[in-house]
Amino acid sequence: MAVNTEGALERELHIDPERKPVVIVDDLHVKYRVLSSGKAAGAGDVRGLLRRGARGMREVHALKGVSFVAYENESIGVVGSNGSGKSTLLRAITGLTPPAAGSVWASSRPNLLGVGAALIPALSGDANITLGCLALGFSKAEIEELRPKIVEFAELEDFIDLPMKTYSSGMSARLKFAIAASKQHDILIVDEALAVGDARFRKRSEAKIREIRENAGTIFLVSHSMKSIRDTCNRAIWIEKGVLRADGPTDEVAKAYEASRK
Amino acid sequence: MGRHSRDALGRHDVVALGMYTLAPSPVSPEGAASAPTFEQIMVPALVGAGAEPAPTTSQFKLQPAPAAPVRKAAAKAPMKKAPADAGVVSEAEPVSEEATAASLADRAVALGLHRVGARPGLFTYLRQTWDRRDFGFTLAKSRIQARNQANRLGMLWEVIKPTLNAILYGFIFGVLQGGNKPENYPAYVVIGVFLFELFSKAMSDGARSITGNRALVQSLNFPRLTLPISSIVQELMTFGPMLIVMGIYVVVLGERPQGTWFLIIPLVCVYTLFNTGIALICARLTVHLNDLTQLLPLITRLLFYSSGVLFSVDKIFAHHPWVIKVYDFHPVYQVLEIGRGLLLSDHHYNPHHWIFLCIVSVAVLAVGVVFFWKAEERYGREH
Repeated sequence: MAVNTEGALERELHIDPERKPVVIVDDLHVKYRVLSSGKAAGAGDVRGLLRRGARGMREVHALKGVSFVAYENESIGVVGSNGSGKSTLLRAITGLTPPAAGSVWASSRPNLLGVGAALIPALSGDANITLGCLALGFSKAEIEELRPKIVEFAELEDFIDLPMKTYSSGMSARLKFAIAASKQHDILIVDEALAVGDARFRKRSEAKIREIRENAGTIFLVSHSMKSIRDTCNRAIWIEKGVLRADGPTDEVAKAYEASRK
Repeated sequence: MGRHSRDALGRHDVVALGMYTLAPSPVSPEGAASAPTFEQIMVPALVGAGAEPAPTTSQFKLQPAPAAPVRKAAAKAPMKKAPADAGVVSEAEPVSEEATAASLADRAVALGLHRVGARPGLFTYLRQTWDRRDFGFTLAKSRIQARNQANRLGMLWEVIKPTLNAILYGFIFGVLQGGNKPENYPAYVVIGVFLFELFSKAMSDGARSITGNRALVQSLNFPRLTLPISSIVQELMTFGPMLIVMGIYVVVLGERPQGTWFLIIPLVCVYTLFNTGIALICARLTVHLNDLTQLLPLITRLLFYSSGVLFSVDKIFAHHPWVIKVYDFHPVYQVLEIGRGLLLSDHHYNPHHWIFLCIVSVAVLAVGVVFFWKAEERYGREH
């Protein structure tokens, strides 16, 4: 296990020639520009307003030079406290959040397991299956094939023609999960909050995640539960304040992480 | 062991501090050129802690500046961490010698990797957008359905709103203009208001197409061009029925339908190319400057009053021929003029304006597509 004590871990990456790398994260920096609250943005000169980093804007340096290599068939758990940059890292790996510096290389485009944003609550569950699957990149013919399976998995046979806004939160979470889980991925990013619904459905969705994970080449799993990281990951990455604190076998990283939390 | 290394570190301190105070100036350029890494300094300190502690003085001569950080780091580093640190350092050492960012890119490409989120070439991008056409189309259709469900009169509002607009503005401006009104003024205003509606909607919805769909942009991968295009498709779908209603109004207001009326369809097509270009430009501009969303209604209103929706440019500016010349190059005004020329028997337009309109529309669309594509990597950044 590589432990990072002072400054950044090695800036240069060592790529193991024996294994096939599928994701290379190279000195990744991500910055967000946010309006700092309480300060008025106006009252400055106009040039100041138009300029980047203008008055009232604050830059949050969410990732500060993270580097690692992920290989084929690895499942990597990402741990860290709230606001440490876990989600930012994963979104940057999918290419959804552009890096401020550095880059991410991948053998195929990494995908986030989630589809909620594409759905429209006013429409029926059925219409949303079409919309969600199209957003995931399925063709119309494939969707017709998948539709019965999705409905069955979500257990919404009797309600699929009703508008999604009439669903209970558990029902719509089930539908979202069923749609998102219908796609197979080479590189997959799973947010554990996806295991949703009542206890029974949670079990089924966990099983489904496991199945997806087995079929996918490489997995990144975000979770606050050290148990699920230990159960499923053979490698772990610990991010703290935007810096890679540790990277190595799950047990060692988990121990170090838990020790730091006490 | 502990005592030895403390001695060693202590001596480093002295040496470093000594060199710093004695000879700081002649070495600073070299020091800057090859900035010492933490490891280069720490390797002798930690690996050789027991055996040969004293570093060569030349090493420190080159690096006067980091003397203080070295001392701090050495003092802080607990001894039990030393083996781990030393292991990392010695492993990484040979790699760090030659590897640079550029060579990493080469190696990644050689391994068959692509940079994630990299903007594809323009033609690949357009092909990817075409591949996602079903998504864009279904999104447009679904949004119309969702919106219509919210109102009791549903789709009818798409027609009622411009009708009320035409009545209101037609009445006010009809009274204000007195005798300067064009022939068949009510039909003139109806065509103007309905056709202008397509442009103003394209502009305002296009401007919101990225900023208003942030969650979607941040969670799924698809060419972002799909979103503004989908908003244009949505406008066209609602404009279909509007076009028929417009025809009915014109008939009710005293015109006889003719074969040339069907030329309104190619006109709407050319107009849509122009609107798409404008929507794409606005979509990217609002991403850069969100304040523009506040300004857009004002700009739309300005264009509404200046595009000859409610008055005849030839009559109002009869004493300023140069203004009329300027309006020859006003794309939206030309669309309205051609539309009126097609539908109103007493209205005539210059057929050359078709050519002008086609060229301008294609040019605006091309500029819009390239302008939007150039920032593809930026969409999704939080504001």
